[in-house]
Amino acid sequence: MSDSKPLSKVEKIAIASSALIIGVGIIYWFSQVMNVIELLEMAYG
Amino acid sequence: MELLPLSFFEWAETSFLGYIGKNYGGIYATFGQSLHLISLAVLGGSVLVSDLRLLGVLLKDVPSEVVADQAHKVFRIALIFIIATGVFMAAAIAQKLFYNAAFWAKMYALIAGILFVFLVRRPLLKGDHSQLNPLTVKLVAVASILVWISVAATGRWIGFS
Repeated sequence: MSDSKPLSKVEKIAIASSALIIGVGIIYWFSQVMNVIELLEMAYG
Repeated sequence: MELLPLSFFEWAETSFLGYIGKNYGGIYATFGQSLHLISLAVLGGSVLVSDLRLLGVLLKDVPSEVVADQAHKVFRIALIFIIATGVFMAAAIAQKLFYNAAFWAKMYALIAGILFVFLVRRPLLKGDHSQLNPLTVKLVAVASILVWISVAATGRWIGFS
């Protein structure tokens, strides 16, 4: 694999969409974990 | 935010598929749940094999193009079974699913995953991987694993919410 070539259009789209998926995924699952932690604190102090 | 109106789910539950799923537990368990979970396992396996190869974790002695091509063939078949069995299972409890946040999270994740695979990942990987930036390939692999784990996790979550 070569990393010296300029990125093609397909690669740029792949990077942007991958970054979007990873970003949204991290935010979504982080918020779900925080909700569980909040619920556990309400239940058990 | 719901993708389809409640009236559609009300209709689905009274449809032929909804009737079969609701009244014949054996058919629901066999052709619905069992095939759905097996298909998800096959799809997850194809995703993991392909993406972990792209990340350089396994099958290093096999060209990544070969692994990606073979895994994609399996992926497509598993996806067809997942959607078919998923529609059947959903029809039986359609109105309940409409009010289930995990169901909509799964639908969004599934749509994102399908669009990502067929519009981004496959066009990127169908050529010579040596011509691609290695960081781009690894980023795509991580995103692919994340989106399909999200589909599986939110899918199982439906049963517990």
